[in-house]
Amino acid sequence: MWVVNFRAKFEKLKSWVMDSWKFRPSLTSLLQTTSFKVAMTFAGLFSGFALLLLLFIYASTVWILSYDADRGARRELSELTDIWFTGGVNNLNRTIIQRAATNSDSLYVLITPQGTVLSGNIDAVPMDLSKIDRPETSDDLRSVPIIGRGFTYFRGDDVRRQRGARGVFLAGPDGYGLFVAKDLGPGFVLAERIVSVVWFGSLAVLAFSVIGGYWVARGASRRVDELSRTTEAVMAGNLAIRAPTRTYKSGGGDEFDRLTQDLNSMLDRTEKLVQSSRTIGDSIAHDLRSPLTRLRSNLENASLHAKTEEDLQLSIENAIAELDAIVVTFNAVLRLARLEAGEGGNFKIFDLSETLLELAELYEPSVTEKGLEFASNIAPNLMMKADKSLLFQAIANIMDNAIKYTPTGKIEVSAKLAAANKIEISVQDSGPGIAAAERDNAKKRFVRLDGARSTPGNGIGLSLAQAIAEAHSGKLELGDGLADNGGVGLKVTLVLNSGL
Amino acid sequence: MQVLIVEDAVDTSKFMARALEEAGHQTQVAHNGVEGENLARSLNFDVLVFDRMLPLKDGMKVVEDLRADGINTPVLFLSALGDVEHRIEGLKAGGDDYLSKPYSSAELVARVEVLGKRVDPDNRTTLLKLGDLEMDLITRKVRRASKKIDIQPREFRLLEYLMRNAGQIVTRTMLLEKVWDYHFDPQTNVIDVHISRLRTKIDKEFDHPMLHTVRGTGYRLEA
Repeated sequence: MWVVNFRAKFEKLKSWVMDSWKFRPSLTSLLQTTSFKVAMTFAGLFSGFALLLLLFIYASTVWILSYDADRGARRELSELTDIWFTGGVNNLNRTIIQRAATNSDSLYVLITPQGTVLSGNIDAVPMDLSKIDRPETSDDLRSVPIIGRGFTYFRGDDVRRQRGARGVFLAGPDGYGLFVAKDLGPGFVLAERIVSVVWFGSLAVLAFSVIGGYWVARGASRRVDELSRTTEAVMAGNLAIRAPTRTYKSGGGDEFDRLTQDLNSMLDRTEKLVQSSRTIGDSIAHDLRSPLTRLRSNLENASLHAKTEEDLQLSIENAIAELDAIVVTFNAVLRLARLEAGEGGNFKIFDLSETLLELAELYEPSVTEKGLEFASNIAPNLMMKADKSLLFQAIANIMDNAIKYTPTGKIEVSAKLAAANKIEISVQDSGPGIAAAERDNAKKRFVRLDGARSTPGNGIGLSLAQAIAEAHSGKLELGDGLADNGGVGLKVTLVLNSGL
Repeated sequence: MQVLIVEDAVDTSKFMARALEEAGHQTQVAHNGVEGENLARSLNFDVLVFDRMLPLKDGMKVVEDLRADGINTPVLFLSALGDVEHRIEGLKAGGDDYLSKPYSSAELVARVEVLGKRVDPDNRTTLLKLGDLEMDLITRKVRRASKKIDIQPREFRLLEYLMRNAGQIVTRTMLLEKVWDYHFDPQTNVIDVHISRLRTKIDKEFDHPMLHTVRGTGYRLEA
């Protein structure tokens, strides 16, 4: 009955304990944090070291004191043995009474064969006398072995302070026994005190470590909680959230600040990437949807209304041309996406002047074919570290535009070193130009200015050129070009960092 | 010409085989890398057309292994990965040409034919001849019907490529890749203009034209 009752009570207690743990999960998780473990480890190491130190101090102090005490006790014992040997027990007894009254550092006990104390200043011999062999009457006192012993005692009425002493016992003839000891004195008291101070000190350190570790762990885990709340929010889809940062006047900031800042810049980048891929997705959808729609309706129209084989053939050829244009746009959008996602490409050092001369050579016939004048003004030996094929694509896009939109006049390609490590490549034409207000718009993806809508193209050329310039830590600038009859012309300049 | 087509998409491979057969070649089709490699090792083919990504064994790996074993049949890689870096990877693995998807059947046939007729690299010919057109690779002089034609360096290279592939259709992208070594999509007819200049020089004052335009595809130089 009692057992059952106890068991029920125990279960109740257990569930209460479990509940109280359950409602405070932060404590258990705190005890598992790294900071807490580190604090505990250091506290443990420190306490262990302190205890070792303590042991050493105590042992060496006690050893020295004991050595002195032993010597003193033996010297006195030998004096008293002389008195005993020459004067007998009565004489010895008298001497001991005398000395016990005057000498406070020495302790004496003279016992009778019955074991009672005859004289002395402590209550009993601090050893088990039954185990000590008593010599025969005839034995020479000097040949009887002396037994040494360390002990503690209380002097007089002072029961608060335990004192240490070391003494020796001589079992004399006729059953008498003499015990002489020397007090270890204040040195021993000091050693004892050091022991207790260090002992309590270590306990205090341990206690403080637990509290401090808990406190630090709580601070650290609060920071970690902040970070993990942020990451959880990000995982839930909120890319705009940032972990709270703390600013320190000293400039520094701890490792959590660094981590927080890194996390935040990573989030900045991720957000930008996600946005850019969204934009790209939208753009692709937008720009490919219209040619795809056109393609579809052309094909549908052909399948429903084509009367002759030739009609069908024409529709199919148109459809293929349309598809090719879609592929070109698609490729350009993909390349743009990669650039904006930070895939800069294959950077190598090459002679830009040479590449531009080749490009000029490639485009020169197209320009003159259209009845335009072509000029190239390329400074020699412009070395650059860049992705050659990307850069070529950028300038080719600009050249394509220039040829497309310049009805009469001239196109000029030039390149020069504008400043140390700054290379300017520009293509100028004498076309209608772009009004200053429209220039930013013209650089946007898929934007085709009003005048351009009737010409073939996908509106991605300039934005791709700009993205390529940005990938080379440069920029694309639009300005007035070569004035001709009617237009102000357009000047497209790539300002690039040579990367050397 | 015997052509091996290794392409996992069945429709696409049928389409490719048909295009090549219509151009007068025999084809055999494999749908995975292992089958393709075994067939290629039979050495019955003049050109191998490999998709880059194949089931069982990657096309790039197959070609690397073939090359390691000294099998030098020309390889045309087909790939949905069209970047310059991918192209370089493909050529490093031992491919001789690289065509990114989507492509026209004319482009495929033209490239396969050029690969199949690939000139022996040890060929020490210094004089190319086609009909009454002559090209001296040492003095870099061009004559037609014994009449000297003044030609610029790039036009020389263009004509050399056309002469080495005489009778074959070469496409605009092939010219841009092989003569200029560029891989990009020009939005204007840059190549056409170069061809028309060359045509003026080699055809204009002569009795019959040699440089023909193949509508919608490219060009062909014929005697």
